[in-house]
Amino acid sequence: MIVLQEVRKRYGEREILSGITVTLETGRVYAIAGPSGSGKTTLLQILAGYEHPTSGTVQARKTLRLEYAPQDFLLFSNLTVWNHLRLKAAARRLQERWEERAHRLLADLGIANHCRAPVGTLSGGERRRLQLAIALLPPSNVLLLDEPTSNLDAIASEQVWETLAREGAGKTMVICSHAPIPARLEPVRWQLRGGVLDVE
Amino acid sequence: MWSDGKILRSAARMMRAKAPIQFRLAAATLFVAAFALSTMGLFAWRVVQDAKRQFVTNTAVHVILVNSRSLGEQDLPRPVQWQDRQRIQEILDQSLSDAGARAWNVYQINFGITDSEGRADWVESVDPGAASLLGLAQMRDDTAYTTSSKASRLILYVPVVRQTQGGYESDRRIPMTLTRVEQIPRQAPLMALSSALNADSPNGRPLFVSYDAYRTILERAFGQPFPGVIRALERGQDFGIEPVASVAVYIPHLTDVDQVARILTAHHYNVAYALGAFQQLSSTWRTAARMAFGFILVTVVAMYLGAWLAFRSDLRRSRKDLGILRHFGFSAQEVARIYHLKFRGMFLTCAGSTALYTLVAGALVFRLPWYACVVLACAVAACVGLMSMANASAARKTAALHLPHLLRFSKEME
Repeated sequence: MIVLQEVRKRYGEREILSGITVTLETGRVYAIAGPSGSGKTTLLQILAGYEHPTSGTVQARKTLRLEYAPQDFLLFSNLTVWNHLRLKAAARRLQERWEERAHRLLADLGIANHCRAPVGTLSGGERRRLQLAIALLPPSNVLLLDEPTSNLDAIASEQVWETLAREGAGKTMVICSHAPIPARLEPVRWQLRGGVLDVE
Repeated sequence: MWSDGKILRSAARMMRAKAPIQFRLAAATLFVAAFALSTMGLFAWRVVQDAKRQFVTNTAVHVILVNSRSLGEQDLPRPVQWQDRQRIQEILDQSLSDAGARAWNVYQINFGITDSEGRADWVESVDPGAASLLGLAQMRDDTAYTTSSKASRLILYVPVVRQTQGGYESDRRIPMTLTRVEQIPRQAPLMALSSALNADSPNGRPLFVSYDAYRTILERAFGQPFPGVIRALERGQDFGIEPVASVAVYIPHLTDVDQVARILTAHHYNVAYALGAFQQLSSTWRTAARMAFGFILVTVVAMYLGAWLAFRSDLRRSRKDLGILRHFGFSAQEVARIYHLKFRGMFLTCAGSTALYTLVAGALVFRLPWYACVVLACAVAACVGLMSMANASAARKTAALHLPHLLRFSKEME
């Protein structure tokens, strides 16, 4: 469970988040929609611990394992797809059998045949799916996903939602997306507008 | 099973594979700077060694030879006399006591003395304690010192001098045996300063003996004790010889030589010394040394600054990479270590190769003693090590920056 209380974020004179108070229940999926610049990414970065709120608190268990797939590509263009997964496995100290899981994730997301390709040669959609695979590889309690289907066509998007439905089972997922989130994920739908979070 | 060291090394290998041109440029600059530092260090050490050999430890350049004194513009210079040594010592003690200059007589016997090799010897000597003027540690009373003889012993046939109305004559000789013959080094100070002392020919040669042996020869030649001979000479009695050939002044510090020469010249003494050909040698020497040191320092600093800036530029460009590694889950310390491991091998190679180069070039090309090569090799390796440590410290600071700051800073969007 993650509890946000009166979370505000201000960049200079501009207030991005205006006192958000919500509780994220364990195992639920939260779909946050909203126009561009409404603060969706900032909210995810605060949840991920990358940004600090200007005021207010974020309370979560210290043992919570959290993975964040940001909207920007945080990848090394010269490294191969497989090397990215190796790096992630190394950073999270994954034990044996992670390779098997990595191969399955790549296959599920439709990029298994790009294993040895440098990221610089991948399309935007392929990079998006690699970034998701990296976030899904280690065991986690919370998944924070920023625009997980941008750059993707309908078929690839369907592959992503299907993978998330399977891999995210039992995990808390917060998904910011302009694209509609399938009902089979049973998301709690929130709208972020003017720095305020409304339940739809 | 992952071990931390293996993980970080593996990550560093991957990072090395994506090293940008800035990193390669920084590495090349470092190698050039390290090799330049080594070469300049070797060269400077060589120059200092040569200078020491040529000037500081070369006794010849520390000696001023006083041959005569000019009392008036109209008068001819008169040769130095028995009393001049003491006068010169007093002048120097009063005018430049800090210099610690010492004056010694160089003695001569103006007539040739035949020896058992059939040659005429021009017997010379120096004051007790002045053996270093001949490049010797000490002089023995039973030894002849020459630059040429191969004999193991010599007999001098000392003529017994009689004064007659027409001058001096001799019809009797007293043999004087010198049981040993030793060589004088040709680069000995007196040999270097006076060409007359090198005037070796089949007919005659300079032959040095100890002061006591010299006294004995004069006593035998003139048939009276040495103090009597000296008193007679001081009274102006003419024996047909000028026993003092010159006064040699030894100055411990090279920088005082010019000044001592100027003082003696001001007291009408005519001097000859090796550094006389150089105008203002000491100040020229100091200025040149300062300029050379400054130039080397500036060059080395500039080169190392260049290498340092190149690495800082690479680190700045790598900010997003460091941020991505932290986003993957590595801690800031681990990220700094990965970046350090990325260049550590290259720094080790650089330190090792320049140290080896310093040892080999120092010994074979610059002909420096082994300890100099080792000191320089260690110094160069230490400089490279210091830069590696400075880079590691900069990487630690960068990796610990606020994550969005790291990720936002990069101009590169991958």
